[in-house]
Amino acid sequence: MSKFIRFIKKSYLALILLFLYLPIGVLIVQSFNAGKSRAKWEGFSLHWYADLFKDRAIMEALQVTLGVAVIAAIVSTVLGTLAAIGIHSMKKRPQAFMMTLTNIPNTMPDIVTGISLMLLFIFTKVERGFVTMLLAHITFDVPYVILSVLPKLKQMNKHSYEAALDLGAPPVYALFHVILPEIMPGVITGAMLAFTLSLDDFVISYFTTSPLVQNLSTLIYSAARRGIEPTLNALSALMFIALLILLLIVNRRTADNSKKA
Amino acid sequence: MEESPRMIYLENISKEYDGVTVLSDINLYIRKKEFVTLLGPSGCGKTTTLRIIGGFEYPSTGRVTFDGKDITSLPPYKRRVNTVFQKYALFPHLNVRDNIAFGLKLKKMPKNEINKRVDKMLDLVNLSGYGKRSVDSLSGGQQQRIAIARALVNEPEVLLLDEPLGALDLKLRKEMQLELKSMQQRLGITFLYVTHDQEEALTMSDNIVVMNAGRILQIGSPKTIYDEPKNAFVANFIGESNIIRGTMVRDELVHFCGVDFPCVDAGFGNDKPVDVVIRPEDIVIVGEDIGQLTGTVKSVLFKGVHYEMMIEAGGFTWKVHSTTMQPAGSRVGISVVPFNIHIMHPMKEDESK
Repeated sequence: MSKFIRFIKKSYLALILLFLYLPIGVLIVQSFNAGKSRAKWEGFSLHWYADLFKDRAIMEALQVTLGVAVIAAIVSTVLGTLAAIGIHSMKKRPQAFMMTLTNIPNTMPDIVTGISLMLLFIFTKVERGFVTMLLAHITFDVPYVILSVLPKLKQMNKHSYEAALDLGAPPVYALFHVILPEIMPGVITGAMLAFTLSLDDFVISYFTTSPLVQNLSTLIYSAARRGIEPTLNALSALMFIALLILLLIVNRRTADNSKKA
Repeated sequence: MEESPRMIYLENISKEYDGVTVLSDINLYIRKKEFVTLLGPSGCGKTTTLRIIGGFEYPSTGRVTFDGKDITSLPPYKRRVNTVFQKYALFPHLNVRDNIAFGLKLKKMPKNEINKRVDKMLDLVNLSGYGKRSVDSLSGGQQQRIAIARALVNEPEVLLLDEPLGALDLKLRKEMQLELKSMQQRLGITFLYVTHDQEEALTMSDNIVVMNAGRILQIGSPKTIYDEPKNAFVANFIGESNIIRGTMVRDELVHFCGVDFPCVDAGFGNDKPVDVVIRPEDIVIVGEDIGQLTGTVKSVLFKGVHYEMMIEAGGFTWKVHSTTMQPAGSRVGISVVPFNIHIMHPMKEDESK
């Protein structure tokens, strides 16, 4: 009997995982398919990958994606870390208020964020393109950085900063030599999270850029309307792998952090 | 103790947080090379007073001077004082040596000079050879010593200590009390020490400042504070005591529990209400017929060095410490020599002096 229950439990889990990962599995397998047909396996080939790297539009979109992700991650990490330090040193009530303000954008649907940013740019007559997409990404990254830095600040001995001042450190020196080293794990996690979210984003990017500046997700979306090229399978497979690795690292770091706490 | 010059002056210091008064009109000076303890229950304002001297808080009114110079609004990193924090606040990302060297590096001292001083400090706190260790690997007592070394290496003129022994167990705490006291005497540094532990204060201090509810109740040597508490709060907080309402009949004669007792205090006026303090160890148990009061032993507790007996006599339950035990229920007489009867002005609800 217990064997049977264990079998049921295991197959249930397997079924769920199958549903989750089968589509991606199919996609990855298809990316190695020599033929163009999606219904028939015509032998193993890497030529879609080769084509991918020769495709100008895709390579440009890759540059945009990485450019936005890197800059957005750096800027939002600096802003978010400083904001977290500020929020942490606030009194209880303003702190609770700021945390609510921080959490609201996180719970807001991307489509709302995207459309409202688009309306803002139209209203202020800012031409949409790389810069507007970058600004949008920074906007949605900052709360995540704040949320990964704050717990580290809370763990810190509340007198550490004062101890540094007491030993003769001016506030800026204390920030760089005492506070930052102690919250660094949270800062790095925040930066990686921001980078991943930025790579991952489609909806907000779609509303805040122009057709002339595409990142990978908007490019795939517009290409898909014309019919899926197998190169896109290869591209999607690569993106999946890259994000998977990043997420694994972030998860490992968060697990380590909470273990230490 | 010889009178050394006054170094730190707190003048009319008051502090409010969001409309709540935590310090009201504190006046206090600290002499050079003195060991001063701020003593009081939690929330009495002792830590706030320390933080005002350290520069972490600014008083709402009043001023702080250091060697005659006004330092009221000087930031902490420009003051010639160093602090040992309650939970040590060592920097976990630095090893023991770098923790101690933190202040010296800021002074741009040459490296070999820094190393020499750090080694000397490690030696002073009996932790030489621990330089490379991470601070997390040290025990509470060791972390405490590193925190002291980190502060002392900067050769401050005043060391502020905020309940530094609070997190240690009893035995270690007693050891560290003696160690701190001898360190202070050897180095000739002024110590300003905050604690709620009256025994700690009595053991270590040259002078004790008893605080309650944001006010200073009494300043004096441990002996003065113990033997001549100014009011019932101080008497109760410092050591155990029996406090009885009484009437000063005239100079050197006080009436309580229906009996006149000769005493040595004077100047309270005739037939004035007073508070009378008698320490439990000053009550002598004598034969039933020769006591100033007679009563019954209600309970006996063995406390190690002595027995603690509760004796009901004259309508009051007396706490009595004695090395000889009288069984519960026995009839005894108690008497007190005049010198051990201490008279105080009765405490008002809002006690300031």
